[in-house]
Amino acid sequence: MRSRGSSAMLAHVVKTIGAFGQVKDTSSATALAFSISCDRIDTSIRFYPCSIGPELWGMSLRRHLHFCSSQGQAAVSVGSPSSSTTDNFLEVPGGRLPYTSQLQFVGGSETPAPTIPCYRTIDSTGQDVPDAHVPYPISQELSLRMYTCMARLQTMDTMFYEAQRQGRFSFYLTCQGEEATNIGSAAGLDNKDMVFAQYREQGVLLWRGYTLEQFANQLLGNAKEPGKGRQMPIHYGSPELAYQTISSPLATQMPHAVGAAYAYKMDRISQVSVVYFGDGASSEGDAHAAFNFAAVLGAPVIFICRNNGYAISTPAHEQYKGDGIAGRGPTYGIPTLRVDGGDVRAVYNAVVAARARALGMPYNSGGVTSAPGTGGGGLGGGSETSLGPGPVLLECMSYRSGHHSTSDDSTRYRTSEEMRAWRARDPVARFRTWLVRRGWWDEAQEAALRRTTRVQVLEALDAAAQVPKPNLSTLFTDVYDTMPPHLEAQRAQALEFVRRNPSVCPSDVPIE
Amino acid sequence: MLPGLLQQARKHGVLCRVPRLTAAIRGFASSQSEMTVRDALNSALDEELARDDKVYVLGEEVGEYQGAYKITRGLLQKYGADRVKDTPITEAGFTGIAVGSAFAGLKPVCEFMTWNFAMQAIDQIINSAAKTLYMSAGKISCPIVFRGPNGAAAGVAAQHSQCFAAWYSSVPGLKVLAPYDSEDARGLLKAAIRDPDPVVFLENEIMYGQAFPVNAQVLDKDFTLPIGKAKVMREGKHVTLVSFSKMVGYCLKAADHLSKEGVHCEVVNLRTIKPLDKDTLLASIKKTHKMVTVEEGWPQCGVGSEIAALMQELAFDELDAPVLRVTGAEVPMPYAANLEAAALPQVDDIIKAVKKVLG
Repeated sequence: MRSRGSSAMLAHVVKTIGAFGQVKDTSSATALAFSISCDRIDTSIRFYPCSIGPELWGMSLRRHLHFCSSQGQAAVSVGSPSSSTTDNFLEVPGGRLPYTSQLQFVGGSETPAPTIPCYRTIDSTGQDVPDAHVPYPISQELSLRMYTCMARLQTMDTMFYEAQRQGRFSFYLTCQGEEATNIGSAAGLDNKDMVFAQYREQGVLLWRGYTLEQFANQLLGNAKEPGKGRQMPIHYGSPELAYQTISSPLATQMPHAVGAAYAYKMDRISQVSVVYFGDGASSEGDAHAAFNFAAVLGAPVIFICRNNGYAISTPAHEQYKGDGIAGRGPTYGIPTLRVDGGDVRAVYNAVVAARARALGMPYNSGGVTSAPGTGGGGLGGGSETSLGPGPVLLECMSYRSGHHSTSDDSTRYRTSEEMRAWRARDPVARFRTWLVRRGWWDEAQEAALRRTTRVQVLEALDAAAQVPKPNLSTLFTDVYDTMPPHLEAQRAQALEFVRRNPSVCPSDVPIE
Repeated sequence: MLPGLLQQARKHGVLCRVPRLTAAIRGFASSQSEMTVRDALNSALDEELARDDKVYVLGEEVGEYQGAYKITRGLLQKYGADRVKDTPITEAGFTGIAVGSAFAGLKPVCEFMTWNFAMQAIDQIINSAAKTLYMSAGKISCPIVFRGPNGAAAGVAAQHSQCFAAWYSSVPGLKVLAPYDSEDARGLLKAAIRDPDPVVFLENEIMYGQAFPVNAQVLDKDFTLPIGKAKVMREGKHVTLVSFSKMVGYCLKAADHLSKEGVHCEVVNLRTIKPLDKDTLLASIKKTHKMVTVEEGWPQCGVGSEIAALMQELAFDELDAPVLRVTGAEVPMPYAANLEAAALPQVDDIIKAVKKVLG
């Protein structure tokens, strides 16, 4: 069924070709070549761009024509240079656009897009927000599990930070102020969902079962460390816990997560990948590519932005001028939610809903479907939904209470008033208040938990310090799947040298 | 008999004006046929896609457009959009996605329209693909192949003509391959796709259209070449010419010319830049005692520099002369045809270098 605009276009095309005749020499101009097939005309036509409206230039005409001809229409129903005034839409390869006759800019400081509001269910004093929508209520058991994990995380962070200050290892960074984002999101995922973290998500590892001993071993780079002492501190990884090894360059993990999600989709596994990144990292080119690609591919990936207000010393208002990271999601075609990252129940609910949505399943329906840990259903299946799998973006708003890392002194670029104000809204304290109000927690339990954790962290550090470093012969392994001859030769040479000159090797590094 | 007859006929100019007939006759020749490098790569991709459903191809224009250089022609139609993916324009993006999917168990073949554009993705190639197996202590592998045309084409100037062999070959964790002819293209690409490590596969645009004889063994769907083994294309006793990719052809031409003057060159086609086949090079230097390396890339820290360092370290007493390097000029590639020719090694440059090393 041809639209009126397209038959006018077709007539124009035929007339133009008649005028140009058979085109032989195209070396002096770029030509668009396409086949027009409709119920009466079946011709191959070569076409100079000057005779088409400017809206066609540079577009993928081929795909649009393919679509049209497969619909049995005349293929040429693109922008109408000689259109009548009764057509209401501009049909371009990107889609169908309504017209406006008003010159009106959208976005920018004079006409900003509406700010996306922040979902929360518990206010900053630890009280329930009245009429909050909580599709996935948290039981006492789950609440206590989340709280104890947040408290242990906070204590562990503080003590490891102090240990670095004392010179026990070279580097540490805490997630203080973001405990709710870490634990709430971890609790909302399935333990097999692959996590691509940035570096401030040790809480996710802790939730999934990484022990204090494992943390301590990694920080000290000893022989028990699963990473064989190859990575600097906080660059943890655990394939067993579905947590990809931390990689320093920012935002490179974002396209990785999309690729992994694409792999799950291809393999028809009911699993999502989850990628954490900060407000600063979202400025990287990789972030844009990841968002765009995830939407185009329909990849089941959850993007979790930890907007903690700072990228080392750069405050968020110097990082971007738009509506944060959440503001970008809808323009990529990604369903987006902004969350109060200090409210662990809100974060939990957001992630459970996001996971269901990413898998193309119903969500937001009061906990009926896809509770975490059940493994979900098939990808995009089910008769109740026509959603396919696809990305979801969550922006968790919080505040980086600690310094960027042990290499930073943030008092140089922010005021102590600001830091004090945010410490008073500490997510751990907030959730504790909520629990105490319900009678699920008390001061005695709090004191006991903190005491026990402190002892455990110290014990883990002391035990880790006794373990020797990985032996020298592992230096050359895992560069390739199978060690090639040139590395075998180098390894043999290195070990031979060390055997002949043992004083060269540090005393806590065994040779083999 | 028929192929021989065909060769005779072509030599005498008969059948030259009857290409269709020649092609028809050629089609009946069973033991030897010709294949362009393009078709060699295409057939290799086709067979590996059929063999392992974890293999998939992605890149700009690889699907609907049939490939910017038509290397992936027909693959979208045959395997569908899940296995041959057209990507938006973001090298950093689609390379990262390919790497992530490899971490998750797929086997991507990631095409760069040219290796020049891969510089926008070089962090993903090196910091993610190359290093992750080591950083994860052997737990996370990345069975990916990065491929595309490398080096100079013709008249495409500075940002489309760089040779990246030297840069990538210095990175531990990567394997770097550079095919010359169709046999190389088939065997090395199939080996690369089957290899569990990340592979940088450096093709050459000028070579795509060149046809080479291929026998039944090369056409077999399980034909692979060993990674890390060079090939002696031509034996000789006076000097060793070492090269890769298009320059192998130039070395062979130089060897032809020099043989008429009684100088017999041994031409070594590296095939693999990393890991370098030191054994073949050492065996050759023990025979000829003189070596000239040839590459299109820039001189400082080039592939020839590494070879020269190795030869003087490992075979100092075998050398009758310093190892000479023939390289591209140390300038960004100019556009004008005369300048471009002056900036790249020519057959004459190789001949001059051989004569210099012979004293």
